[in-house]
Amino acid sequence: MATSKMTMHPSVPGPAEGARAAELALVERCRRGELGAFEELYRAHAGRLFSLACRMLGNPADAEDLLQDIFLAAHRKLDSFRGEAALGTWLYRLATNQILDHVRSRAARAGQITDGLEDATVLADAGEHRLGDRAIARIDLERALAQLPEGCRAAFVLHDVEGLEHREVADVLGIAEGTSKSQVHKARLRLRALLARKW
Amino acid sequence: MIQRRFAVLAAVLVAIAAPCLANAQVYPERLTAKMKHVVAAYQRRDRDEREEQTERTTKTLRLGSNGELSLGNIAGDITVTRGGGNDATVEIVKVAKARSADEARELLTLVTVDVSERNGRAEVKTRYPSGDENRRNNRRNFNVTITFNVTAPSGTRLNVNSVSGNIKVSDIKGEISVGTASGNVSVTSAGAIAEAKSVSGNVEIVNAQGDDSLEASSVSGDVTMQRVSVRRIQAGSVSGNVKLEEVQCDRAEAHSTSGNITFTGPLARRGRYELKSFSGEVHLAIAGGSGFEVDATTFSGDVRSDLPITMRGNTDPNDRRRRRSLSGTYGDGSAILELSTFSGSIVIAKK
Amino acid sequence: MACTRYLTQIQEMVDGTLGAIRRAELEMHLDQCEDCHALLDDLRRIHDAAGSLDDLQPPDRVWLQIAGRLRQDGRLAETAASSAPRRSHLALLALAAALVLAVGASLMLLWPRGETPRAPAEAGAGAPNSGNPAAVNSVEDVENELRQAEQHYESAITRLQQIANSSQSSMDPQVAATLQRNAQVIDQAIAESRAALRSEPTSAPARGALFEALRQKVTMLQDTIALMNEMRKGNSAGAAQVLNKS
Ligand SMILES: [Zn+2]
Repeated sequence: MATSKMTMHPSVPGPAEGARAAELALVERCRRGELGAFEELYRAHAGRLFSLACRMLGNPADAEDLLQDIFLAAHRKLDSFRGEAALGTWLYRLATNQILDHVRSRAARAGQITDGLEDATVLADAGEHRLGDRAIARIDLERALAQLPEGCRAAFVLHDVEGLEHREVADVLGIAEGTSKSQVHKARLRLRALLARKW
Repeated sequence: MIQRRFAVLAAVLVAIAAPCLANAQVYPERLTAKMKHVVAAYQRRDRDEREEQTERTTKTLRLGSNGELSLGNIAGDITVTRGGGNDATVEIVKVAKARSADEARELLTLVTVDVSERNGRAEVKTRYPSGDENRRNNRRNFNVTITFNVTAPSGTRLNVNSVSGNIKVSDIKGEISVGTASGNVSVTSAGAIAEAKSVSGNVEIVNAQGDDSLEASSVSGDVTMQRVSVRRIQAGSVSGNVKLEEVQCDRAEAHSTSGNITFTGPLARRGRYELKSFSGEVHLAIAGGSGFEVDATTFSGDVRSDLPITMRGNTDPNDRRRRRSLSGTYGDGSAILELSTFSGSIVIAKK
Repeated sequence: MACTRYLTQIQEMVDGTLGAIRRAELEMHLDQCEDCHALLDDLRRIHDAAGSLDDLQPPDRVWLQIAGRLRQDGRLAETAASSAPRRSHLALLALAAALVLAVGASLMLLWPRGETPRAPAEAGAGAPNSGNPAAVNSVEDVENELRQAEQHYESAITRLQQIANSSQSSMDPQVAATLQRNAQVIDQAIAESRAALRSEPTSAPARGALFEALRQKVTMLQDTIALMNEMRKGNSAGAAQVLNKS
């Protein structure tokens, strides 16, 4: 499996006009060892990165550990931040790479990378679970997400939650574009079945 | 977006300036004075200095298939194209002009090009003598231009900057950043382009496909993109036109104060497109893709749509009077369009 | 039960990648097949719900652990609280940023479009008080707000202009001339939109144009200053190099 690194930046909101200088000033303060400055940076970005980690890993406890690693790594690497990209983008890249490394090593440990099971079942079930008028509650969706198999969860999170295109998902995960499509599609069908179930 | 407009360019000036400074204790005024001379000489192409001497050298850099090349020049054009193999070649053409051939030859030796190379990263910088050296040599102008003709492996990451001179890059798929203060910038058949900027020249990007965002700007020149597919486009000019033709992106922000804005291409589902001009026209031709929700406003121009837009509010859709604003939905309404011009007009057309 | 042969097309429809011909084919089928129609609706809703999920907040202990580790690893300055003297260009940039932030903040109150995620209901902005109905009740209020926001911009511009003028000498004359010419283009836009606003005080386009032009002016001045500061920074970097070598 190719281990391509994250090179794109999904819909991270760019800094407002004029905020870039403030961002550089903040980074400069972090470099000088000001804890307050780094806390400011953390508060601004932790939510987004934590969400990504949680959803990709399907497990808040792992995501917490990883978030800690991400920000410690960011602090070490701040010297290499020169403001070409927005700080949010820079952090997002760093986080994605760490998350993927984690997912990969976990998959390698578990001896499975993508789920091969029950394609046929999922497809056959496609018509059986209508959502009908039922609204999709956020909490239900999060819970259902956590129940997806590793491979298709990562693809779904990157594509439908983070808004990457299939070719980008493929690039990030080191899989073929067609695989990204089938994983995302499978994830949607599974989610439909999960969401249609009574909780 | 504009906040960063000069950052790269400025960084180059710095990159260029720093080694000169290492030679002698130079103060800001002297540095900038020197740069002014260099640039002014290039622009004037001095009439008195008829004797011309040329020196050509070629360097080979072992970049590997996706190395990094930074190139900083002060006066002269830069061309980068794709070459075969894993090496980059840099042809350096120095041209010196002076009143006598001897003097021109001497000038050639004074202006040098530093090349450093390490682990797939190479840096090429033009270096003019410091202010002190100039005074010692009793020189005021350096009529020396350096043209760089570079071939590099397709995957090379490129950072090319110049104070005065045109920059052309083609067929390079690594990430590209280019900037010049005065001169045109042209990038064709590219992968990721981080930014392409000029202060007084045009910026043109043709055939680019990348995953990231692309920022292109000029202060007085036109910014043109053709067949560009990236996640996000930011394009702006103060007095030039901004033309985005056959572009595909999730998010586009284009603005000009006195120039026109043109956009043609499909809209992405949940995409967002903001096109703003003050006195120019805003012209949008949609080529399929997603439906949209639009807000178009003008103060003294008018708004016209060739597409059947379902109006928001209680506007009569059959009202054919000149209108100054239009808000409504077309198709599935999933993309968002914000269009505005103060005194120009806005046209939404089908491609 | 949805028809297997249309599954991929339905998914691609949700992806937004379905070509026009296959889309037309699918649409014909959807008109007749309730199951496939329901499937498309559901998948779309899932896709959209996923795209609008809010950020989750990590528990506070994560930050405490990070801070603890940084301290342990000796990565924090002991005198972190006392502000170290900054280099002047940073201070300048920070000042410029602060000015614009202040201006931006006051504008947010008045002019929520553009900067904030849009609420379609108020995007028309035809009514003068659509931006901030709670605080702005009358035309006079709007005008007051406008004047205040404008004053912020004006003072930001004046201060930036002073900085820019005082450092003018460090810029290449041709580039400086281009910048100046274009500053005049923006000034013209400011003057015109101001006149328009006088004739039609509640015009949203006039108001939008005025702020856009003011914003442009601020950013251009900022850029100018950034350019000059970067050059200075180059000099101090150069000086440092000299010191290191000797
Ligand atoms: Zn069917």
